[in-house]
Amino acid sequence: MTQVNRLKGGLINRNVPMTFSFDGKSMQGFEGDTLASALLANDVRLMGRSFKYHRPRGPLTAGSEEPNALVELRTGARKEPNTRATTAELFDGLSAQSQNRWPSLSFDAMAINDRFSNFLTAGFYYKTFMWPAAFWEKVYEPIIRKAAGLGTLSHEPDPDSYDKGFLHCDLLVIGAGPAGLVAALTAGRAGVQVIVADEDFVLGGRLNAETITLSDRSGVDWAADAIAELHALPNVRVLSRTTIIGAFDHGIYGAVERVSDHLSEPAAGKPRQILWRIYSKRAVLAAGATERPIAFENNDRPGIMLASALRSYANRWAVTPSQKIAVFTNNDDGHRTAADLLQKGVTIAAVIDTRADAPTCDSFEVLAGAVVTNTAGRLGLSAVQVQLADGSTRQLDCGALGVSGGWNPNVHLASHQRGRPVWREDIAAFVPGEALPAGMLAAGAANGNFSTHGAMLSGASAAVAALAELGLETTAPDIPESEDAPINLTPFWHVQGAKRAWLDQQNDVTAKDVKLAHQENFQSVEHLKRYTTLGMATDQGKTSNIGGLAIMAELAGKNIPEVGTTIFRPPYTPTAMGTFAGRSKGADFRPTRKTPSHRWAEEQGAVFVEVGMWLRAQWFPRPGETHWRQSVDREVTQTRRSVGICDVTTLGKIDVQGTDAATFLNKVYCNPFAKVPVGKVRYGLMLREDGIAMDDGTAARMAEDHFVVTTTTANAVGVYRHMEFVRQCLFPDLDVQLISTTEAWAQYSVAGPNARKLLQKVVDKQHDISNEAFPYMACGEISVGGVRARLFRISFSGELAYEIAVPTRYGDALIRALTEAGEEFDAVVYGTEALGVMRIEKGHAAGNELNGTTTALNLGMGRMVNKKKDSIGSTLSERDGLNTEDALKLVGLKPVSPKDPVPAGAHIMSKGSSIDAAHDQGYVTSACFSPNLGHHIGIGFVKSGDARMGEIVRLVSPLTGVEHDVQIVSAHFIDPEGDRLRV
Amino acid sequence: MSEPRNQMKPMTSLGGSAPQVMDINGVTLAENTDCAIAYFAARRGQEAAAKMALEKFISAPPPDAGQ
Repeated sequence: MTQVNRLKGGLINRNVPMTFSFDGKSMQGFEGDTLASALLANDVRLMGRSFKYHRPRGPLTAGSEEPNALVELRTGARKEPNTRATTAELFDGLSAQSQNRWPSLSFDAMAINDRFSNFLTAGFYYKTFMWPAAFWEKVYEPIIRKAAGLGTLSHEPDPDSYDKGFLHCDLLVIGAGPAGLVAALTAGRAGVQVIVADEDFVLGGRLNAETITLSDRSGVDWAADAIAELHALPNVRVLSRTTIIGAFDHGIYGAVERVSDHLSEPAAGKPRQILWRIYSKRAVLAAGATERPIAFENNDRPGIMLASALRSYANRWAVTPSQKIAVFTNNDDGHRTAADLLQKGVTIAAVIDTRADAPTCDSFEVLAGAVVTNTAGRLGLSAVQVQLADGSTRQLDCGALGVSGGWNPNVHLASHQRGRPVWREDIAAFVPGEALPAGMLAAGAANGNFSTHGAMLSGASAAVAALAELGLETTAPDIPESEDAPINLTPFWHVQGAKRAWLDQQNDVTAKDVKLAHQENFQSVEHLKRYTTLGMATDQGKTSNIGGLAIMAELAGKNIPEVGTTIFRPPYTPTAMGTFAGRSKGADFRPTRKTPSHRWAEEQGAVFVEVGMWLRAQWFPRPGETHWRQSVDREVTQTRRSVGICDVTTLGKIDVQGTDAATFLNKVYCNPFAKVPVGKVRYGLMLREDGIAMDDGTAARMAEDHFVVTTTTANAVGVYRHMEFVRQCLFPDLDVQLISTTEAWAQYSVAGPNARKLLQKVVDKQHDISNEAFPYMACGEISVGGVRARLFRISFSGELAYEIAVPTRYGDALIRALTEAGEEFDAVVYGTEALGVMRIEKGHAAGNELNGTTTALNLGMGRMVNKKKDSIGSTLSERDGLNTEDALKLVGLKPVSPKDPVPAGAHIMSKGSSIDAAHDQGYVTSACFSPNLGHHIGIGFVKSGDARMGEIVRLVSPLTGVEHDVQIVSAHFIDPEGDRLRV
Repeated sequence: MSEPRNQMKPMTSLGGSAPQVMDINGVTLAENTDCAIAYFAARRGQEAAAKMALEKFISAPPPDAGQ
């Protein structure tokens, strides 16, 4: 069998044969073929199985609107499921597999579903899997999950790369058919910057699929000349294999260029696809139109396709699905298919025309006023049954049937910003409405101008109008003479009485399903879509939506525009996730952030932990230490005994500047900031709008109009985003600017009784940092070795402590200077674990306590929510539910038996109560071993905890088998009076 | 107390003590340590004064906002 269905002519290169395989079977095609055209040439009509009923299916179309011919393309890591055979360019060595079938495409065991179709109608899953309830998780869901989906994934990483790029132009022309080419030529000759993009690999649109002539040349030659001229113009960029997938704000369009999909693998250094963001001043939508089918009984057999697709396959790819075809149409365009295929030597069984006044033809039989009532053929069409105008029935043997129900303009991009298309009665189709995306003009078949001449004229006038809007007067080029046939169509959507008449072939939605939806009152177009899944497949209903609407309109006694359309959303065609990701994968998606002292920390043998994207030193093991606890205990003990140094660069730092800086912080923090003196730091708590605590940190007033705000490491981005939202959206009138300076400063905590002595060795002498000159919570500009620096006297550990910051590039030098100066005090460097132990000993809340469920009241900071001012979250923090008498309060927990641990996550139960959720008294949020106290400690939330000091409660963790007594104590285990801070 | 040396030597942006230099197929790529990007925002109502101050500072007319 070698291309038995190959015809003469076509735009294929017969000098370049290509070998490919489908389901392991080797075949031949030519350069210029798609996988679908090559398979049809080899007499393969069966290319896939439908989603629900596993019905045998072949291609319905010859383009990107294809619902049926979906295959798994390539093998191994490059395997891509659900690829349309109708757009997959053939390359030598291409390997494709059919999908959604077992064990083979011709014998699919799951086709049994088709026999039970009466039980699998629209919404069957809402009714079927209700009982017994226990079956859902164990039985129904696993079975449904196994049955769902079409293709399979390789489960291997994608070996290809994807790029993103930006393009700018005066005019973007979407589609390079007759209208688009004329628009591009008009603008290109006028000298403006033009981008013309088309999803096809051969530009020209229908000019390449028809036998029409333009003046004295064929449409194919005219298109080739036009494209050659556009390529030669330096101000025009021609993007083939490029789909405009979405229309976004301000004339921005998304475009996917398939750079390497037509090759077995991308050339070295080349991406597979590029996602372009095109900034256009104006755009002409010339995306053409899609032919729509007619619904009739068993209209989904392989071999039944759109009449225009039959014509495309014959004229462009020189193939026919069968040597004998019939056509079923409600308009004149269907007759063209019969004429073209007859001219190619294919036998025409008949043209079945629903119109009683259908035009006649000498070359083939026209059955006027007739309809197709059924079809036959298990794995491919073998015959159609026709009901003639007189009511009699006739059977026509044929291997293919071209169906034409008219054309739908491709309005999708015109509606991406919710613009509703409008109904045009003369063509019985929706065209772009008035509310187009800014700067867009519609032309050609996309605007309902279906004749070649009409399309070209509208393309020219759209370009002239677009340039006029840009202030450039230009004239339209001469439009060649070509067919200008009027639309001659009598709407006909479905053959009456047909039940298993497919509308959405991919999702197996039939006319009967639409009737059921109507019967069950899912009549709104949005409900119809979701109840039946009409239009929810990968083709987004390009060939099915209007047919479904027409039937619903008929049932509801409305006209089609009254029923309306669903919302069109990007992307226009399925787009690979990798394309959206671009280069953002692996380390490029989630980079590792290192502090300026990272190299120094490595030299110290630090063990690192990821915090956000930062690598932070967790602890610094010393020789002889075999367990992390030994290192951490040493770091904690030595810090409290003498002095410790910790890298706190990763804390979020935000510069808040402006005359209204204090007013702004007063809004953002729940506690007051207006009267913070210059040179002082204040602890601040931020609430979410709903009254829940969001983040805490400090704000240092460096000048009257300048604060430095710190955030927790993990929330740095979120807090900055929140503050920008507050600044830009809630209080745009305030004079305040925010700058993220997290990466601009290296910052170190120096904590412990000898902290000041150590710093006095490092800070330049002219700066007095004595307790009197620089008291607790002071801040100021200083210098270190002549380098400008900032000093904050704040403490997370509960010790006399400072944080010192220098510009990032001096971070390495400063940590080395600090440790060197600390040698005489036996200073230690400590990591995040010791930091955590010391803050738990001190009872400071951190991320575990600010966990998205807790309020200021829970945290013991209820009084901080200042009621003399308004701040974000203040009002909603007063909600009854957040202020119950037994509200959770932050407390300390101490084991009654010193050997017992206090594991974080364990729950608190009163003595004698049963252990269940109803009796839950609270939970442990943070816990550690305190080397200073010699036993484990924890902090957590307990109901009315502040009133239960000294109470013995039970700590339980049924999952880990923990159950012992703990005592509720103050969360401030160390120095509750805060004397150490102020020395 | 002994005097620390306190020599505050800066690192380059790429974390080295000297600018990094790479040769890729005959093309030399060198780290430029003399270049920084600044964020400049005017106080409300003082756009003109701010622009003048910036012009004086950089000895060149500053670009328009967003350019």
